[in-house]
Amino acid sequence: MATSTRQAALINGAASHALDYDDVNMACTGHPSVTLIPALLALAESRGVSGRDFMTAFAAGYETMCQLGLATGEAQYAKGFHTTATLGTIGAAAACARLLQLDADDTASAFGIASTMAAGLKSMFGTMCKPLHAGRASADGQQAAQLAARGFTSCADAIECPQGFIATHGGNSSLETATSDGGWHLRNNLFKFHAACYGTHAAIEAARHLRLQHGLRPEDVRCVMVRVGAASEGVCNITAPRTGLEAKFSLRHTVAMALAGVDTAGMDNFNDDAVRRPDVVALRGRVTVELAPQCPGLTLAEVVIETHTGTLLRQRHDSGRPAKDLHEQQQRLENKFRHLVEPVLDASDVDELIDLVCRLDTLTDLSPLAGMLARRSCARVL
Amino acid sequence: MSTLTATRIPQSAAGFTPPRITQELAARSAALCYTDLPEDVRLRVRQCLLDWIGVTLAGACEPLVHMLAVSKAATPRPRSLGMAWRPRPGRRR
Repeated sequence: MATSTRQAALINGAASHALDYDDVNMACTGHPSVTLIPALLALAESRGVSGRDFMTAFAAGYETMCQLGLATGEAQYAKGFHTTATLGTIGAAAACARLLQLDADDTASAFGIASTMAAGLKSMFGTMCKPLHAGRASADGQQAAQLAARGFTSCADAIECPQGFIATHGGNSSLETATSDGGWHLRNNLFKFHAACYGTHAAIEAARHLRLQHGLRPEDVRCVMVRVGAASEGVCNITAPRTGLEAKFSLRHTVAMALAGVDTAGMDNFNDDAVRRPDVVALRGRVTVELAPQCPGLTLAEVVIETHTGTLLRQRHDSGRPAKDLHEQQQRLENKFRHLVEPVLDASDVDELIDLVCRLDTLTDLSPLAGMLARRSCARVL
Repeated sequence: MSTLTATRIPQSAAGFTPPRITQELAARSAALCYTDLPEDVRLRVRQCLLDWIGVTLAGACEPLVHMLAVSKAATPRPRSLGMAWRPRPGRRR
């Protein structure tokens, strides 16, 4: 569908976050890729952008977003801001400013414009507004960079000034924290291999491990205790989900799926009918979630299963540890990719897309890639 | 005067110079080059793009995406009052 650069970023950003299956970085408690890539690809379609230009701009946006995440800390997320939306707007501005080759002063202007556009409430989780936030962040960040390029004014210290971004979003403006050199945040990027909220993944992995290790069947399970950090309460603890979307934000339901042997990587298992599966609903009734105040963040979980024979089985998992084996991660990602796109692409297109991305560093112009995505998208909006 | 100078001024008081986070982060972002990216970071960027394409092509079929696309297509193009504006010379990119 022919559309404006801004509208493409908005729609593709929302599409990319629609399934809650995109990657995450805990430094910003959010999803950098869905705010950065739609804005960059939309710009790449209308101007000559090489693979390397794209990669550099992406890295600039990614690192900026995560550094800002450290500066605002957990306070922002705890207050109820959806950081993918708020930090993502500034991250997208950084990425687009780099792609447009803005100097440092104009880039700072773009940050200011983006800071005052940033918005998004965590209370919208489980509704269509959550993916809308990603699209809005991408489109607004892109617009902020384009406006800065034209000389649009904003305050030059928008992030740290009184009534600025950090002050209003609950963080503390420490230059040391905001600019600390912790290495590349990209090295802590976490991909999702379950089609649900990231806060459920550690519990799913732990439950899955126990089922496989002990050959558990649903009828073996008397009760299940899921211990997670207190932060999970406002994120992924919907007790009795009624829709597929709600199920993605339900620790009880996703753990029940894992114990029932339902493939949590399969998106079809999160549709509204699947949520009513009697075996999963019955298991869900035996799952209790316990919030552990001393347990930080959303990536740690302990699952304790009591079987009907009285045996206690215990497993912990930390889904916040990035993969060490990048080759294995590539294989898992290609498998996930094929699983996701085979319903909408020809097999030859699947291989061609994987090959194009592998050769990204050598591509002199990204518009063929953007064009191919536009032709193949089932919604014709890419 | 002596009492004033002896008093420790709280950081929130007027005159406190806040850390230049905006400028610092903007300068870093604007200066980043492809050659700065280590090989494993480049691979991670490519993996981010591959994963993004997958979740986006699959997500593009979701109802919310159609709603956003339809709302755009169904809206008649409004006439803007700002169209007489011209960019300042030399600023346009």
